[in-house]
Amino acid sequence: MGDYLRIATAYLCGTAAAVWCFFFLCLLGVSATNVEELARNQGGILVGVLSRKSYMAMFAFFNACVLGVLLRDNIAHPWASVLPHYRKKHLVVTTLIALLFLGIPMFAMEFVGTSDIAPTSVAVIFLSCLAAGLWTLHHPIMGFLAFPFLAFAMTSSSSSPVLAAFLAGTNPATSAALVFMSLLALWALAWRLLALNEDMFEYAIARMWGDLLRGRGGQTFRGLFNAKTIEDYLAALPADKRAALHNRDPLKSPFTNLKQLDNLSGYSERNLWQRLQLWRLGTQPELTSTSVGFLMVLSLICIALSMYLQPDFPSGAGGIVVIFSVGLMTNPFSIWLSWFKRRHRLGYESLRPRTRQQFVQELGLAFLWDIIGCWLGGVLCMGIAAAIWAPELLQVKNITLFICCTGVGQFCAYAMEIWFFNRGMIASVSCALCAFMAIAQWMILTMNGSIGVKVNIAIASVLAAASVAMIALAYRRWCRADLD
Amino acid sequence: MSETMLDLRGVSKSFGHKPVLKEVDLSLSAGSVLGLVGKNGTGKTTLLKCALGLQHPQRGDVRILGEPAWELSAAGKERLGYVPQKIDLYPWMKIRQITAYTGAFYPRWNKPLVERLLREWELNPEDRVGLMSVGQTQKLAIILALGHEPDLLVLDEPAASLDPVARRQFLETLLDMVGARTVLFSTHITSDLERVADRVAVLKDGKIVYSGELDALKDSVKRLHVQAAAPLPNGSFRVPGMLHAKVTGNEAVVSVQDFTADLPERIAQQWSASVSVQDLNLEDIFLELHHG
Repeated sequence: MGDYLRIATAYLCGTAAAVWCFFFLCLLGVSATNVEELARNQGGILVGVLSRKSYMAMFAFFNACVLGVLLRDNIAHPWASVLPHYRKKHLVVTTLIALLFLGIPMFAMEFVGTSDIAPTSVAVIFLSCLAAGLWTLHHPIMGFLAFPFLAFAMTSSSSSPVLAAFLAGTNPATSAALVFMSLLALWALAWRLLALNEDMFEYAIARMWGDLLRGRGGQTFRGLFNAKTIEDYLAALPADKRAALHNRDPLKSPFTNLKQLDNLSGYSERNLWQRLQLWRLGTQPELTSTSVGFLMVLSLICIALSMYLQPDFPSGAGGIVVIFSVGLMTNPFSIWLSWFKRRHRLGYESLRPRTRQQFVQELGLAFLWDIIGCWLGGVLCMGIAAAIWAPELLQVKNITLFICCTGVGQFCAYAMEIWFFNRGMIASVSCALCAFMAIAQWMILTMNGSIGVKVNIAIASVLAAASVAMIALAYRRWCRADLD
Repeated sequence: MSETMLDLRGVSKSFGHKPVLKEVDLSLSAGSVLGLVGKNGTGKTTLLKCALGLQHPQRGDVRILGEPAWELSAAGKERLGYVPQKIDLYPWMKIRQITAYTGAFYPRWNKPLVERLLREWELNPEDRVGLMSVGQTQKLAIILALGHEPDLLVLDEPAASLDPVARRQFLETLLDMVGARTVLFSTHITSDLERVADRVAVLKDGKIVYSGELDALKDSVKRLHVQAAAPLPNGSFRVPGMLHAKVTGNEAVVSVQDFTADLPERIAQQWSASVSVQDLNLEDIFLELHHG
């Protein structure tokens, strides 16, 4: 019994406890609020999200993600193996936590009569989101399991008769299919966990997420960016597999900048443009255009799906187009992260033959160039998507406002990013994402005419001036900053 | 008169409320090889970073290659090579790509030298940096720092991750390359220091407790064996320049700094004892200097 309690303590303390509490409070809040009425009154973009089944799905899914991280991290950690039969004990504790901390709060809404969803559907949402959450962060291929979660979270009940019937508990076929898939995924998870070892890719990923959740973020990201956890994984591979990896060249594709590296022919006097290109080669192997192009395709698919799933979206098709186009501009997992990773090399790189001021200036401009690439991708995506789904947006005034305002918004996000660059990745990316959420809402209001041209010009002018000032301050700060 | 490559005057640096460097003075003239030794956490890396202009000291003046370190010109940086303790190179690049990339920044990049070092140190230009071991990465970082034939080479624990063979190769290369070059390196491996350094600086608790010729350090720190006729006082036994003493009855083993030829005679007279002098190697000196 003592072993089980000790294991449970490891799952329920520290950062994990904060995450549990946050989601639990959200669920309590939603059970006490008539959220769908609120969403309808607001008429905002949250109508799909502000619903009980969405909150249930999010609660179960994100908590399951946390649980999955804790479970794998605890099993993967060397200290876990000290306990006899530790894998089975961890699985038992996880199951109990899932039932107590995910299941009971969800069903509590039924007990107190605040849920309008059939209990069987609550059970299916719980089970399918649990299975998806436990898998999602650790195996990208298993990400398809998150589709039921997305459907529960994003789809408006009234828009889909199938979903409405499912929520009312009158579609046993859908429920049975989801339950079958979920049980299969949970069985696969248990099977993988019982065999988890250092040779498996999930082992390295488990340690990485675990470190992040347990507040060893700096170490984690250093590890992630230096590929140290992956390095550990590679070092543990048998010699033949390791040699095969050495010889394999996954980066040999037309979508990387390695060809440009191969073409470098020593030192030459370079103009500013050429120097920026040289600095940019040191950020990431992928070309900015590749990640932007990939995101553009993904955004267009998401727009098409959203049009299908939410035909009665309050802001109309234009709203969906604007949200995804602005979202594309953030490009957080390629451009922002790559530049953030570079942070640890700045000291080393600052000793290249450039003065500190030139170094900061040129690196800042190289980053700005990548950001401009993302912005242009967003503008292009908006043009294509509007031409297909929302031709009413394609007016000179709208296009001009979209280009100018998102340009200023992007500039503002860039200023915030470089200002917060050395404050940690979470602060940095969070600020950028908040900025983009604000830009998306601003653009929706602009496109539907709620904000006039003059007000837009005023907002853009203020933001542009603030951004210029912030960039100037950030420049000074970086010129005086201690570098690693 | 040779050029002063590095000059630190009264440098103090704190992180939060924790002082790391306290009024450090250090000077390095052209052509010398200075080994910086000190325990973990004594501020070696911080000192090197301040010297390179990567970190700003709260007080004091740092000049490198005749210029203020914080405002080092591009031309100054061309003459500078640096291997950090924690190496974060570009993991997606192959060795030949990373050498080409680094070389693109330096007018004096010596490609044949780099290729020769890669061969000698058994690094395959087609290997990817992210898949290399720590030791291999360190070798590569050293080669990248040597590629533009810097006048001043700053190495932060360069041999820490190298195996004995690679370490010997590295030291030989370093000796080959020194010539008119100046080298500043921190290390824990005192045998390496003895092999290549002509000067040594000992950092203790953020202060330089010794800076000078290696031979002079060996001459100045000695261990004395004192054999007295009567029991020696355990608490009050003192000799000039004493670092550490162990008194047992009539005998005492004392380590001293600032040793002078007449010191044994003075001790012998003061305590009516016979005194024998023991030379110490650098590792023993390092330990004695850090006693207590």
